[in-house]
Amino acid sequence: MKRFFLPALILLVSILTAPSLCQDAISKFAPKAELIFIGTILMPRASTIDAQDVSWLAVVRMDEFLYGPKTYMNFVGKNITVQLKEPEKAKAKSRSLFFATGWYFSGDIGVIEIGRMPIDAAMDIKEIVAMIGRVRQEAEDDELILRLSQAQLVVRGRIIDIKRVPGQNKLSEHSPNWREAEIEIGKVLKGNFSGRTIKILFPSSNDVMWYNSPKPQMGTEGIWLLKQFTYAGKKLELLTAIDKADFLPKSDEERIVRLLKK
Amino acid sequence: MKKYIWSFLGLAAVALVAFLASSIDLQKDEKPVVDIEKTVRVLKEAGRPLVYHKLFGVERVTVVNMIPNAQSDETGQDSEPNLAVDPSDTSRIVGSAFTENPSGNLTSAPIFISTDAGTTWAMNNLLPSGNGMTGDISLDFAREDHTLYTGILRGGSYLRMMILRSGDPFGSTMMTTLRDYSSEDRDQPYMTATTTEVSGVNNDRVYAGFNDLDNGGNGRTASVEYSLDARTAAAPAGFSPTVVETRNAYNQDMPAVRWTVHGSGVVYGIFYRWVSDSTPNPKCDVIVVRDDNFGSGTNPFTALTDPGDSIAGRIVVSGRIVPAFYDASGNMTMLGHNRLVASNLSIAVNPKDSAVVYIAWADSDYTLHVRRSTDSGANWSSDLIKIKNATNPALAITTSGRVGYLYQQLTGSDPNYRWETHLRRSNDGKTWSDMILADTPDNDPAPAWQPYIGDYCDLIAVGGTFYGIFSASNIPDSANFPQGVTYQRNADFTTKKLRNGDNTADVDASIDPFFFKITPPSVIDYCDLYPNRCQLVELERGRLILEVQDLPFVGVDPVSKNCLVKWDCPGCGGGGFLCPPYYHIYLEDINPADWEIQLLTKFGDPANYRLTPIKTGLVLSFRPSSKLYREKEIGDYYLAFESKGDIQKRPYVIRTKLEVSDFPFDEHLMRQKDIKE
Repeated sequence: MKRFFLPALILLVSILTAPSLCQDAISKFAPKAELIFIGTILMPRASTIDAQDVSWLAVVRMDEFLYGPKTYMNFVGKNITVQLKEPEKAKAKSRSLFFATGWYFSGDIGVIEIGRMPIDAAMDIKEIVAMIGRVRQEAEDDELILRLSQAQLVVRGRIIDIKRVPGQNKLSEHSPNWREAEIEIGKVLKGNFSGRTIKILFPSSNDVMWYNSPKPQMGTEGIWLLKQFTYAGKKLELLTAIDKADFLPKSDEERIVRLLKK
Repeated sequence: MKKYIWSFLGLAAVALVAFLASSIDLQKDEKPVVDIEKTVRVLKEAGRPLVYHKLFGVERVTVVNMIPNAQSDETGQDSEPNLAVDPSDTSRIVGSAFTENPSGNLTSAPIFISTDAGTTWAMNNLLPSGNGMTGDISLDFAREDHTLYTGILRGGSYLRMMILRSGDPFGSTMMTTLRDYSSEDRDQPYMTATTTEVSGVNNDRVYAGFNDLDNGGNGRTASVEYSLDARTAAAPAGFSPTVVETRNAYNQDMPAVRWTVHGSGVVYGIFYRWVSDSTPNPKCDVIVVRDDNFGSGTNPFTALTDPGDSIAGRIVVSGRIVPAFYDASGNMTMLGHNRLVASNLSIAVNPKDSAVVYIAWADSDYTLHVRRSTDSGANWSSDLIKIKNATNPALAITTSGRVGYLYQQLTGSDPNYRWETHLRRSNDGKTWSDMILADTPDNDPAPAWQPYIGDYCDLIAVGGTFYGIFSASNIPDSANFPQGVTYQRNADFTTKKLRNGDNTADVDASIDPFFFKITPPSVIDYCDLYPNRCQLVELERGRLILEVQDLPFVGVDPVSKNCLVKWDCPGCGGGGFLCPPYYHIYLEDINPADWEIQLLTKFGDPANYRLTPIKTGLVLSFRPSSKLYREKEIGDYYLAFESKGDIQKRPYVIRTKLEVSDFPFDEHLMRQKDIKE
């Protein structure tokens, strides 16, 4: 009887503690991971890619893809190379939940482990995927909270006028070619502003540096996260929305209002 | 009797190969046509078969789409490419373009890497970024010891120029930041590097031309950030900026500031000084500066003065209209779908004669001009060649003085313009050959942003080989690539469609970087045509004999033939894990001091291999590329043995064996030791 008791106890403890261990690992690593997958280490200190030093590497079969860019989905069922955090602890045939960042792309791929936890058949993969989804959503909310905190003014509105800004100083192929846009304000979501309209600057250039910046057109409606911006050593006179994520659809208003309260 | 016939044939073959190699020295130096004719005459007089005459005209043109197979789904606009070839190991090449990090990470950006002389490419995320890619980027290797230097505008940070260094751009360690101008506006860093020996120690001398938009009110913005010993020191590793413009400019100098450096210490720079008139038709001078000691003196880059005003900086042409930037309505000046921003400059010094320097620039109706100086920049020729409606000039000069000239020319008519990417070459600057590398549409894909194909592309010469990179539409149509092309990403040349990663759907056309290489004929060409004559015909197992009859001696041994006799060559089915596996070729009873041993691909390029000394000789270790691998024959590789120094004329017997492994040699040895213990 005694000899069954200890293994049974271990099994029970592991079943009870596994979800919380899993939750801890996901909370810690998922926000930074670009790729999350379940994989089996086939061979430590080996590589599928062209690497001379394999001491930190392992060949891992990607058993299930859980999160990441579509590129990685093509490698499900295939062997990839993982640069391990603790290669000395890697054991062949062990199955783990891998959290990784991208590194090397050729015909094969190499990724860099940022975290890993052992996984066994008893674990509910659907629940793990759901946990990852929740953590990623929280991470995205945190990013938006940070962005909102950095904005001086957050307004919902519509573009009613656009003008060219003359007299730009030094030129480069990356000159922003500033335009002035006037927003008719529907609602101020953050900041003190009592006017009916506000003028902002935006880069009209489609240079590689600016093409992702919001390029409002006459009639464009949405939510602008407006900040002061320094360019070419000078603080711009008007507020701007430079980053792609500084303009959001008006359907995001409820989420923004909720996050502004946090 | 048979044995004697084989031996005789073998001796004849080895002697012939040695004779060919020693007389034409094709690997190291591309000889002008006259030398080839002389060699043919010698061969004829010696009674050799004249079929080789055709061989000498052969050169290999390789064009490769650099997007890796794992990125078959990508549709990014990978424009404005740049290239660096490691001069001390030309199998190692690095490229760049406006390419997004494939993993979606915004804090790093990729470079392209090849360890097999450009046959295959991978992407390696080593660059710091704020948006998953870079702004402007250029790169160069030092001449010795493999260090890569990179200048970037950090992605997501506007005109934040950074200078970076990596001792191993093929590994996973992020590049080291040597300079980071986070609060100043600096544009278009363009790298040039070399190595020189100082008191027995190699120093890397590195030059980053850039436009210092923060510099004062007199418009003197053409600058260089440089270091005389950049390789090992901590940041800033000796880098500091110097303004090289010595005259006031109308508003500023234009973005491109390019450099070329000669091993003797002579450094040339070129830039456009904006002298009058507003955009989009500013008038500019083309100015060349020079330093004769790497820029190490108290007044660097002032060795060349203009005869007109005696001020440093030779004005080669003056008051030329250089269409650039925006018109009064804010519309960008364009050539086809690619913008014009006064970045069309290139300069190259002859590696064998520092007084000979070529320049290229663009002006007027977008005409490219090439001129030459043979007296260190004091006097300049008239136009050697003019090309209309063209952009992105890039010059390079081989060790035999042959000039290569890469550019992209807009042809056809609206709305069906096309971009022709040309490589012209000349031995004398007067007569130019013309090779079209690509002829691709200007309107498919539509531009996502600017630049569409780039404000520059790149051409490099190492030895007698030209290496280059350009960006163009990636539609897989053989007619678009007259010299042929290889795609790594999935592509269907029958339907002329790109395919996705699992080959289940079409992918839209986009702009991709294309690597190319023009390799002069080599001894391998001979072996390709007459493989039986290149065998070392020792029929005994485990032995390789070099019958040295003449010096210098070059022997070439096709690796696949060895699998018939000398070794057992298990392939992927041999119980191992990797396919193709690593092969470790033991070469014992050989004095490494007497022999230069190389592994070459069938294209004559050095393969990616390591030589490890062991107690009894050497081990040459490599993993064949999947393109050249052949099951149970290892693949299309050649062992080349070149005598060093004055060795004795006699047969050299080398014991050889082969080990196959899932691991590089060091690891392989360790595992074998584990097994034995």
